[in-house]
Amino acid sequence: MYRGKAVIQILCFLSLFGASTAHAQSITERTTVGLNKLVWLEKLRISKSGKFDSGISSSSGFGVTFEKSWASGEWGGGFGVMAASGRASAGGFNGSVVFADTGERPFALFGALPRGYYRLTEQVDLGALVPILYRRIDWTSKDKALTVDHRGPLATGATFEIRLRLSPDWEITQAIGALGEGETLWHLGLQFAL
Amino acid sequence: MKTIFTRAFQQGLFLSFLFAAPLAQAYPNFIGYSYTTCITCHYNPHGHGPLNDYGRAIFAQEIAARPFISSSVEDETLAERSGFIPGVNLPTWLRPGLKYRGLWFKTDPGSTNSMEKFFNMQTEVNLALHDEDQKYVFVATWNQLHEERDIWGKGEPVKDFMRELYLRLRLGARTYVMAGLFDKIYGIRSVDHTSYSRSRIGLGQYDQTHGIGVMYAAPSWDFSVHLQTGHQQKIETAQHKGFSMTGEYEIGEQHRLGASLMSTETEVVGWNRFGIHDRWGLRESPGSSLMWEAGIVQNKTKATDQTKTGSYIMVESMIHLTRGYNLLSTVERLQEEIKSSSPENYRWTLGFLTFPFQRTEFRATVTNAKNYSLDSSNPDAWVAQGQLHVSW
Repeated sequence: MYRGKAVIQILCFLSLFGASTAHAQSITERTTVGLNKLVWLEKLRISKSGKFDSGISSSSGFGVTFEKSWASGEWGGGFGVMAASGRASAGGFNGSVVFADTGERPFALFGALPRGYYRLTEQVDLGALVPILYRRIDWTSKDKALTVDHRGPLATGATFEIRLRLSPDWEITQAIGALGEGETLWHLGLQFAL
Repeated sequence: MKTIFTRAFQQGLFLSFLFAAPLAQAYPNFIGYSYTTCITCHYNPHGHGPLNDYGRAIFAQEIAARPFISSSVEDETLAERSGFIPGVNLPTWLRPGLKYRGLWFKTDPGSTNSMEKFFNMQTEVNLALHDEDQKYVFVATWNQLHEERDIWGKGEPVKDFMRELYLRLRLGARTYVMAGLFDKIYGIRSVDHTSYSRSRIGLGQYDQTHGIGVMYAAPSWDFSVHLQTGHQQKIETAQHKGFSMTGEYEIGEQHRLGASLMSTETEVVGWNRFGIHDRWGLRESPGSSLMWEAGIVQNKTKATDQTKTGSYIMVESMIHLTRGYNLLSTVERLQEEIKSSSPENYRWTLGFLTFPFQRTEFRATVTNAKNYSLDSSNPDAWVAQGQLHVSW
């Protein structure tokens, strides 16, 4: 929860700098599709024969998004969905349990991306996302006695997003946040308005 | 394994901040203010180094905030007082300057491996001498190091060095010829020397070179060539000889697309770099901009005839919040070799780039660094950084 609060506090602080006269009060709607780069970190726990070790996994991949967003005056909201795939690897273990085949694991991810944002100007949105991610990473090891656990297929977090509207049709998004302590999530995208 | 990888990653980041400390000297982001070329504000047509009178005036009346200054004092008055000695008109040919930059940073705050350091990163005296029309300009920039260092690779630590020493000649209205010691002409050259788009290209803090540069600056495009003889004070095996070229074309209002090429070699290595870049001022958000640069980096080791070709990407947003205050976000990716087995390095720097007072810059940022490789995974590295820059 503290992550969400922190993002909202940042937004409230940044909203102090906004130009209050810049926007009409009617509700505007926007639909975009996008291509995105995703990078994130997650904690992993491995166990074998009663011994435990903890490490992390890094995932890197690309995704496509579809999003509807609405704005009224200086504030807006949106809801997007994402499908992504890429590769993951594990590491950072202390060595008390051997996990030899940590390498390239494909992942598939589906996400819901609700967001709220503040329109700093006509071309700049500063927002907060609460990504809800369903991802599948097959950590099955050749060592059948080894168990690899992460928190399960569903994860949620909070990210701070900068969205630049380069033209009426094109947007760049940059979002950084976390799924948990030490579990950072990056999300960079190029969106096209339909 | 955890200890080795984590320490190497964290120490690498620490050292990159310590020895390639970011020196912000030119702001290509200011295309957001409609300043599309560096020569508007700098004696060096490609930015960096001393500001000219116009640059000092712009800094005073448009870029920097003006707290504690009465509203009855107009911005034009601040511009008039932006010289070396406020309110004193020095002879037209004489333009001295002073710069100080202090850097504090802390790696992995809250961790037991955390390291913290403050140092005087830049203590600089600069001097520009020129005729009234600035057809002939001489620039010298002298730096005092915060500690003795062997920056030339000769095994002889030095206390100070010349960062710039050149003559600039303007031919007609659009052609500039520079001869002497100055920064290599390549790419955007973002404000952070530690960025991949600088440090991995060979555009670091001590990577100036002697040579001759020629720039042709048309209203909507410019093109430059830099013949490099290597930095003559460096050990001979570190003197990169070759050339670079860069050009930008204005494809829209406050929007410039560019490309750069550099090929240099020493007795030991050969370097080839190619990049494309884009600088985009957001017209509906004055002062805000988006820049990106992407390219390839090829390093050849002559002894083994081994060549590695990698890639880099930098995307930087500067969001103007109010006069003197900006939100800065820089995302970078580096891959030493373009192949799936080569680790991907990522860095995201987020924070504030501010000019809270006249002649003052203060920066507060946090950098999150990631490393992704096929067969392993490392925890993130973090660096919190504060930087004070006073320019007189």
